[in-house]
Formats: sequence, C-alpha cells, structure tokens
Amino acid sequence: MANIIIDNQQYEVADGQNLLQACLSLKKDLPYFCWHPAMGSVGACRQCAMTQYHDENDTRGRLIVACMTPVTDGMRVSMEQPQETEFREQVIDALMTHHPHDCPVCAEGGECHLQDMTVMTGHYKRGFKGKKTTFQNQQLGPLIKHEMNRCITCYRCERFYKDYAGGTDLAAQSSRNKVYFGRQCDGTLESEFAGNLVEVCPTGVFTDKPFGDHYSRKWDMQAAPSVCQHCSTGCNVTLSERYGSVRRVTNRFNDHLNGYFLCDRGRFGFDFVNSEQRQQHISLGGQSVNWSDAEVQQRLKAKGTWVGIGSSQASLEDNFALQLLVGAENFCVADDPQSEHLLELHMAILQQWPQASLAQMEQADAIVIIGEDINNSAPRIGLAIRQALLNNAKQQVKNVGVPEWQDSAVRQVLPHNKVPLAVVGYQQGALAEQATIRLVADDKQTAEQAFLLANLLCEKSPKPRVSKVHSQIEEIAEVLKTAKRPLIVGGWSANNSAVLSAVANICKALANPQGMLCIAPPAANTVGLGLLMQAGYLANEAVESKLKSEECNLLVLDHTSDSRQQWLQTLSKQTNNVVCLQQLAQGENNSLSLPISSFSECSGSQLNYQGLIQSYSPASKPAGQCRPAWQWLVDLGKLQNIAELASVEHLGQLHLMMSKLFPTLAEHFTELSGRQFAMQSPRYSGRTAMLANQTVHEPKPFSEAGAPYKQSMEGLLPGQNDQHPLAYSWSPGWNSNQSNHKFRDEFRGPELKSQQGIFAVPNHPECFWFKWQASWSANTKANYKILAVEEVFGSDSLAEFAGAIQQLSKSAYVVVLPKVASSLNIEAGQWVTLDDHPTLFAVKISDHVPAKSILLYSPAHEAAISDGCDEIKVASKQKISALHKRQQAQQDVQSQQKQLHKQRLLDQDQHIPIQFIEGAM
Amino acid sequence: MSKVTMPVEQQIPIQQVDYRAVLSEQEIAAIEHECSLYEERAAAGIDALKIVQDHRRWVSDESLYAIADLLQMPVVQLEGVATFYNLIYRQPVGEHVIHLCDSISCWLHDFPKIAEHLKAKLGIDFGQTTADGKVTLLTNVCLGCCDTAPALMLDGDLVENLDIPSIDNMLGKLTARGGKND
Repeated sequence: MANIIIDNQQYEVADGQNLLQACLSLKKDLPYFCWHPAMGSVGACRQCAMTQYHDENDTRGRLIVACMTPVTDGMRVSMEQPQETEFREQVIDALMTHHPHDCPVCAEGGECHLQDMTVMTGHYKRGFKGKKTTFQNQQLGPLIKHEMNRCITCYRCERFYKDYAGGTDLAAQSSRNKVYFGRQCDGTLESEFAGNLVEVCPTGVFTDKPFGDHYSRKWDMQAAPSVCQHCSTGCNVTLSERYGSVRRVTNRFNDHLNGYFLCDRGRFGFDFVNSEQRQQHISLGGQSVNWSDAEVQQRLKAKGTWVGIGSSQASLEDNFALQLLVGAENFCVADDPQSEHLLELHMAILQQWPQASLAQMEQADAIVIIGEDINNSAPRIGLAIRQALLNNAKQQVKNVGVPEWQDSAVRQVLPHNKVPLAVVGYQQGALAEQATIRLVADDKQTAEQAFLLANLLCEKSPKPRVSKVHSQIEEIAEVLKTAKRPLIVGGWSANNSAVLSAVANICKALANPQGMLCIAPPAANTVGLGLLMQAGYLANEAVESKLKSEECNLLVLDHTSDSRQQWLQTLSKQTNNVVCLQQLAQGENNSLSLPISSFSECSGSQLNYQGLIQSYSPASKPAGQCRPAWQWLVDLGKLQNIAELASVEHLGQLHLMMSKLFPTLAEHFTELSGRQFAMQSPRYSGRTAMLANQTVHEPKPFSEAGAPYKQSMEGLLPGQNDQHPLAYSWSPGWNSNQSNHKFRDEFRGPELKSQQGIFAVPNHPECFWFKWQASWSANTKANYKILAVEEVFGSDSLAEFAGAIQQLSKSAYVVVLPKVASSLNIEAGQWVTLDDHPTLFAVKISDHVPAKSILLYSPAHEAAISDGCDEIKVASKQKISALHKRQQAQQDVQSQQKQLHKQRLLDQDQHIPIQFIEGAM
Repeated sequence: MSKVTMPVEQQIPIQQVDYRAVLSEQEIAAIEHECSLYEERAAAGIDALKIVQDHRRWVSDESLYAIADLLQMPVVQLEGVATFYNLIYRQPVGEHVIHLCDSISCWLHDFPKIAEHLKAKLGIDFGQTTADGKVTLLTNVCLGCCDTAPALMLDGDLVENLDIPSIDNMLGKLTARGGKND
C-alpha cells in the first residue's frame, strides 16, 4: 500500500496502479478519455491532468497526466487547483474543435462519456474560431454506424480493435486535425468483436446500427441483468427494453467472465426474441387453437409414457420441470448418441477439474489448444486467450521497472517476448495464425498426439495405438514442463470423445496445481443438462425403440438446431402425439406447439462452461400466449396429476425442489427480502402516458414473486445493494458505461480476487486416467474425411434468427490442400459439389488442412453432411446460376425483411401488450 | 467548410492484389533490400512507399495494396503510414511539386502575397495541378528555415528568401526545363 496526498487529504491506495486508477477507486471525479481499465494507459488525450508537488513547501508543482504516473508512497498531488482544472477545460476545448453539436440526434446522447466529461470540466464555451472539418463516413456493415465528425481522437477504437482484439482492418489514418479512424475503404468490419467499439468509443463515432433502427434513450429504457445465450461462456449482459420490445444488449461487467467486452454474436444475436418467427399462439399442425379445445386437451392428457427431450438452449428450470413431469427415466438429454456420450464424458471431467475463468486464463504463460475451434465456439474465451499472449512482454517491462499498464511499452517488446501458444488440430482463424507451435491434424490424429503428449508428461498416462510422436508434440511437452501457469483448452468442436479424454489426461499428467483447463461445450446450458442428467436419463439410442415398442407421447423443449429438427422428423413417424414447447416456429408437422417466453421475457438460470450458475431476469413481458416453459409444464403436470409439479405456483418453489436434489444450488437461489431494484431509471419518461392510447389507468408495476427486480422506476438505485447485479450502470455525473468504476475498484491488483458464485457441479479431487478405446482407432473409408468447422456468424442456430447476424453469415465452403486443388483442377472461389449432396460449396485453399481431409463449413440451417466424401466436382453452370439467383433472392428477402422488421417493431410500440401487466384493465 | 475526403481514386475496393502483377522488378528489389535492414517487414513501409513514389510520382490504391501484399501487412495500417506523411502523395501530382511553407515565420514574411502570386501565375489553388500536368501546388507545415523565410520546397529542394522576381524566375525555369522530374 502507498500513502498519497490528494488536495491535502491523505489516502491509502494499492501499489502498482497509476494515479488515475487510484483516484477513480477513491470514487473521485477525475475526467479521462483514452485510458481504459482493460487496455492500459497511453496518455493520448491529456484529459486526466493533475498537479504533482515536490513536498509540502512546493506551491507551484508541475502538471502531470494521472494515467501515466504510477502512485508512489508519500506523493503529493492536487486535482482541484485552478491550474489543473483550467488545463482540463482547455483540453476538452481542443478535443472538441471538430465535434458537432448534434447531441439531440446522436445515438450516444444521454450516455455519452464526452458529454459527462465536458460537464465535469465545466467547459461551456467554444474557444476555437476556425471551421470544423467535415469527414466522409464509411459503410462499416450491418452492425456498426460510423460518424467520424464526432471523433475526439482518443485512439481508443484503434487500440481496442487492433491491439486488444487483433483486427486488421481498422486503423488511424492521416495526421493533425484530419486524423481519421476507419477502414481503407468501405466494407464490413471483419472482427467479431467490432461491436465493442460502440462501448469503447467515448462518444458517438461508432454506434449500434440495429439499435439505431429502433432507438430509445438510455434513461427511457427498462434494463434487466441477463446472461448471453449464444455460447457456453455465459457472458453477463444488460437487456434494455422500451414499449414492450428489447432494444439492445450491452456489456454487464463481470470481472471473471466477460470483463468489459462481448462478442458480436452475443451483442447482436439477441434480436431473435423480436423475430417475426416468434410463435405467439398455441398451434396444432400449424393452426391456432385454444388450450381448452377438446383436441388439445386430449393430446395433453394422452395415455401412455411421456418421453421428454431436454434442450441446452432452455433454462435449468425448464429442463428440470420437464424432467419432473416425465420422470428421469424418460428424460432424454441429447439429439444424438455422440453428443450424449460427450456430455457424460464432459461431466466426468468437470467433476475432476475445475475450469478456469476468463480472467484466470488471461494470466496463463503457456497455452495449448487441443482440437478446439475456440474462436468460433466461444469467441469471448478466444479474446481472453489473446490477452494472455501479452504476459511475457508485461513481465519483461516489469523487469526493467516499467508498470504493466504502460500499454505501448508492452507492445513494443511483444515481438521478442511471445507467450507460447500451441495449436493442435485443424482449426483455422486468427488465433491459429498466432500459434508459435502448430500441428495440423484431423480429430483422430489430434486425439492420438494429445494422448502421446500426456504420456510424455507422465509415463503412467495411457498410450494410444500409435507411437510416433510429432516433433511439435515434443516441443509442447517441453513448454508445458517449464510453464508456471499453463492453460489447456479443449472442447466439443471436433465432436470427438477421444479429444476430450486426452485433454483431461494432459491435465492429470501435468500435475501442476497452477495449471488451468477450459473445455467449451456447444450451447449456453449444455452443462445444465449435464447436471440434470445425474438424476438419471433416457439414453438417446433408446428413444426410438421405446417409441416403437410402446405407446408413447413426445414432449420436446425448444432447440433451434437443424439436427434437432431432423431427429424430430424421424421420431414423429413413431408417435402420433408430439408436443413442442417452442419460442420460434420451426418445422411443420402434426405437432401441438405451445409458445414459450424467450430469455428476455422470463427468469431462468443456466450453467456456463465452468458449471457456474447464473440467472437472468426478464426485461419485458411475454407477448401473445407466450409463457415460460416451466409454467406450461406445471399446467401439464396438473392435467396429468403429477402431484409434485402441480403444486408449483412460482419459480421459487421450483428452485426449492431443485435445491433439494442439488444442494449446491440452494445458496444461489436465495431470494431478496426487502426492497427491490428499480429496472427503470429515475428519469424514465412517459410512465403515466405511454399507455394512454389504450387505457387511462396506470398499471401496477410488474415483478415476479421473490425476484430482486421490479419493472418500475421506484426501488433501489444502482449501488444501493451489492447482493444482486446492477440492473443498469449509472451514477450521478456518469451517464455512460464508464460509471462502472463507481461500483467497484478499477484496479484489480496483482492477485486476482477469487470468482464469486456457485459452481453447481461438485468437485471430486480424485481423478483417473481416461483409457484409449479401440473404437476410436477406426478410419473412414471415404476418399476425403470431412472435418466440420464453425463460423462465429452462421454456426449458432439461435442467432441466425437475428437479422443483423443473418446478414453476416457466410455461405457454405470447403477448404482443401493446394495439392488436392491442383489435382482436381479447382481454384479458390470456385463452386464445387461433394458426392451427390445438393449444397454448393465455395472452395478455399490452405496449407493448414490435414492430409486426406477437407474442412467443411455449412450454415446452421442447412442440412449437415456425413463424415466423408468420395468426389469433389466442379459445380455445373446451371447449378451455379441457380445458386446465384437464390442468393440474390435471399438478399432481397433479407433487406425486405429488415425493413418490415423495423416497421413491425415501430408499429408494435403503439400496442404494448398491457394485458400482461398486472392489474391492468 | 473545408472538406476532407478519404482518397477515392478507385471506387471499387481492391480486395487482393498480387504485388508481382503491379510492382516492377526494380521496385521489388529495392523494397526487399529495405526489408532486409529491419527486424520486421512492416517497418520498411515508409521506404517502400518512397520507392514506389520515386518510380511513379504518386502512390495509387493499386500500388498501396501491392506494397501491403509485398510487406505482408494489413493495407489499412500502410494507409495510415501513407496518409500520415504529407510528402507521400496519395493522389496524382504534376511533374513538379511545390510545397510553400505556411508556418508562422513565413506568414510574417509575406506568405499571403507570395501565395496569391503563385496561385495567379499557375492558375491553380492549393491542392491542385496545372491543366498541362506540369506543376502541383501544396502547402507545407514549416520547412525549418525561419531565418531565410519565406521559403518553399520544389521537388525536394529548398528555395529560400522568396520574393516575386525569384518566384517568376523559378517558374520560368520550370516551364523551360519541362520534361522529366529531375
């Protein structure tokens, strides 16, 4: 700790931080722009100027920039003397020479850091007499809007995009008063983290485009703490709602998971909740029906066994209610035997090895990725791994007495101080290109080599059938032996149990208590299903035979994947009674479908890749007949006389029942007694007027029983209770997301605080070796083995229902080796077909493809393809022109839909579903 | 209101350029030599831009993409370098380029008068090239010779203590000399 004196007041602050961090941690209002807690200091904007004094007799002092000055014991500084306050006001004046006064039409207005800082410095009069520069804005794609005139050249965008996220298509250009941040020419920003520019930019240069189409001011939106649904990381987000529809997703700080940043799939994928395909009425074979209709009742009360199919996209509560209803022995957890096996294995590993959080991963000093496409399966984890690559450079600058938050110093020495990153497998993309050790191998070879790696580290580790160790594996073994905090990353991408087992074996062989593991499951609540699985389940392979052998009814929880739809089609041939609980209308068969609320309309919990339980709260009310799935299931329980479930009246009772079965969860499900958090800001406008076109009565504010949040402006403000997450981040004078520092220390210190929360999967310290299984050695007989790859945009079936994400999704492609391409006489960019599969694939050529294999990407909503193919043929001209026509038509439909979507949302604003507001009418 | 636009010679974005199809062998050899002097290829960016400009007078979008391809760096990063320096021309320039200093000492020594004369004599404004493609007129932020103000730079050479006759003399020579930029 260091004692420092600010404005003649003595404070004790943590060592190792800079003066700006110290002042913000003391909750002082010191203005700043270019500094960012996650990106360190560069001293570009000079806004955080303070005066430092030599000793108590020094009355003049000298101006310093707080973000570049380390705190030292006994330092004397001032923050409120005229010389520094005047200087700070002049800095704003200079930064704003080109800034237009367009706040009323700027999407950032009301949550603009520049507005806040301008008010804070007291700047009110323009000093510069010259003309303002007018820049040309760029078209940056469907996600981000560019308005360059508003720029104050803090360089945050470039530092985030290029330095932090590794993007290569945005940089600072030109000089002096013409500095420009953008691409070389118009075009969609390539990085999957581009959406963070919206939050990183202190003013309105980069704004959220889909949000701009259906806009509302921050203070007018009802905000709910929520959890992202688009991968297993479980990033914390805030959902904002106005007039009954969810407007946007913003980052909600979580020091161990997402920190300050989200990926674009999470930020823009939420829009599926506003999709036109949302089902709002009970339907039977596509026709709207009523709950009380005889046929519906007959279906719901049907005799025979009810088989339930759970969903990794649904909440823990929904799955649990389904399990209760049908009984554990009739509860199926996976769409195919392979995923079921992977889930079993995954849970076994999770019990043995705790999973590292993202903040922990950022501290790794060696990283080995085994057969996992982490960039696409869990993009935010990929971003965390990228930060770990700086650790040796940080250590290097620390060794010469430079603090690690001196960002440009760290990046200067980075090329000579790389953290070893080993990538084994066939994944492509930015992270693989950064690899210092790279072994290109198909999934089976990856597993074999990973087993051999474990064996190199510890002789007791079982060997696979092969014994030839690649030189890269030997290198990795050496790296792992010397590393202090190695990180092993694996996952489901390769769809291979051997890979998962190998990853666990490497951890055991390492025997390093500081070692870290991360295994990424495919969906937001995969681990939640795994937890319920422990109470018993119906094997996937037994479902079909069960349907064949006895009279069965099928009860299916919503899952949007293509494989699920295909499987259901097969199953529906075996039974006459299929009841689906779904949020998005999919498939058209003779099923009865009950509309369920999305994650933005009800409370629920899910387990992330670590088994950490996190809950989300509703931001809006469900429309039409939508209800949370668990409520439908309770009603079904009443019809079918399932006493335990039928007695449930609210979520709290369901939580109690879950806690009995899984005692670890009990602590998470504590309910709030006393006052609730207000989800609307104190400035929320139109509270009494916004329903005036429908009713003169002001409805009673809505809140769920026992829930800590209330859809009202009356209640606790952010920071008044630290037991529950903030509904929104705001503090007087700090309207933007930079208000974060008012609720926590911006300086984390050298030691990470341990992760808060309940890990639902109990840890068993004793662990065992996974043996190599004979069945893993089988080879495909086809000429080319097909290895499936994923894309951030396109592989998540849920996000595909969001218009902006759909626009970014790539069409199907294959990646082949150069020699394969030349032998078949095909070129990059050409269209080919595989065997007699109808899909056309664009050809890409790369050296990083395993021998005798091709990499294949096919969008989530296109039919999947088998493991191998014999023939790659250039597509016929007719097929290509048909494809082009289809693509053109698709694009037209998409842009048309975008307009309709926008219009529909605007119309909807006039008709808020007030019937669901308690006490209305 | 002054209008700053990003260089838009070619409206169609160039996605991928093979440097061998654009740059001459001489240029490639010279750039490769510069690369050999630095730790990282991208560090030779400024030199590469200068080399290409020496051969072609200016750096077109196509040349920019080609250099980025040769140096294996993101094109936007190279664009950042190219647009940072006022002596790298991202738009076509005439055979001769005049940079008239507009910093404080030159301002005090008749800059407005000299600028008006130059503009009238050439029939162009700052940032423009004469119709015959001979001369481009630009300003420059301080040429570092305040003691001999006013000054300008003609094709890289300093011309000091400017007055109307010396300018007329200089422009006369330019028209007489004609031909290549030597």
